[in-house]
Amino acid sequence: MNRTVKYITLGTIIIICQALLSEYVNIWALLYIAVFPQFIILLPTSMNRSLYLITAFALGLCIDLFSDGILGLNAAALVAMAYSRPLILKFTLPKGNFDSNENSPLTLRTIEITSLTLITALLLTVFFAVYILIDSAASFTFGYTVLKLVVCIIANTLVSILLNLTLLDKILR
Amino acid sequence: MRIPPSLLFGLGRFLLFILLEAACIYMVSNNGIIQRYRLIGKLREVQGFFWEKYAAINEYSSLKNANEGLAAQNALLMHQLQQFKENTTPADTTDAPFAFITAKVIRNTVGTAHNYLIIDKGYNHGIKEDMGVITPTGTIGIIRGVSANYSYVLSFLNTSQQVSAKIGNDGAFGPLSWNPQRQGMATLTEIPQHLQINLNDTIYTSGYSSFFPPDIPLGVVEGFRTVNGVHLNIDVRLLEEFRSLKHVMVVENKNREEIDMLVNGTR
Repeated sequence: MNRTVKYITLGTIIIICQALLSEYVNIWALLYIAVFPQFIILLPTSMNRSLYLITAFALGLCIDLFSDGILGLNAAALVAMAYSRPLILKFTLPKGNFDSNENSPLTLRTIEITSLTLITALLLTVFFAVYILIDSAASFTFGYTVLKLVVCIIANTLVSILLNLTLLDKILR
Repeated sequence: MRIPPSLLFGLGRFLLFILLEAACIYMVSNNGIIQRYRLIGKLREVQGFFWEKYAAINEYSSLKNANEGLAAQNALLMHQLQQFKENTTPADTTDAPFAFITAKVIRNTVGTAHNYLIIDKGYNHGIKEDMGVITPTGTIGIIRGVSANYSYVLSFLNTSQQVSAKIGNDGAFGPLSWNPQRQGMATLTEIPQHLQINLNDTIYTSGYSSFFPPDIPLGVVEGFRTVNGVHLNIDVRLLEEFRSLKHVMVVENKNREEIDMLVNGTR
């Protein structure tokens, strides 16, 4: 299958999964399970960075429209995450073994699990920091914000790695 | 001097980033929940049909609990009616400022930071935006979107929602907001420190907003603490069990337009 078609298919699957998650899996107000940042995390490093930002914006808006949230909230967090991605990859991506493979997605097939976990955790930190700060701007409390941030980063990093181990690599292979 | 192309591209990307973030913040600040409802209003109407069917099945399987809830509500209303009869003359009942439209909840979220409800009444049934939604044991939310047969209610279980509440029937009042960290709890703030507060005191709606009538019991005091040495923050256990909500009442304030005209005219 053509690479672009694969990414579009994966994007569509992720939007549907997120809409279903938002609709039926609401465990705790402090816990927000977001699978769609994983799509932005795994895009190849060779992709045009402006196109990368626009993709993040479009994906965020789609998620905002089809899940239960505020229009623009997920998009703002995803764009911030996409903008910070090159900088985070610059300091965390192992040199040597990945340089020759810039067109490959960032999955467990192309990168070690420790590096991928670190990259995922850092990018999700940016995502949730922006998301929670905008979300609680009207009613900011330090304890609530920090607790929600920690809970979301830990839970979503685990979910992302689990997704990578089970699904994403198979779809993009 | 020639500017390096990489610097130009970097600046371009930064400007694009700022532009996209500004667009997002604009949408969020313009109350994106309502915008989203309007954008996908037709889709919601179709979804509403299926949610209604699902709610009907769900309702049948939980008839025992629903009956118990209705019996409890009935007892409370009987008690309030009795008090009303004892304390007022028949002449007081004319021109009541509030009218109520009953509705069935067909969709209800409780586990997120932005919860909402969909009810099975829309503008065909006289529902308008900004009407309050209540039960005999709590304020449920405010109507934020209306289609022909369904309405979107922004739930009290939202970090941005507040209800004006008072302690006891004649006590001090302040804003009551949902506490997302503790299930079934809310926090009443801005209560003067010198007031005598007792555990299990009842919290009621103050009536100082045009959304909700006064004296609806909301919850009971479970604890309190001093904040900044000036105010008390009171932990309130909500009476309403949002998870098992089946029926609600939409509040129509007949004096609303007049109040709004006064408020807007003095600004």
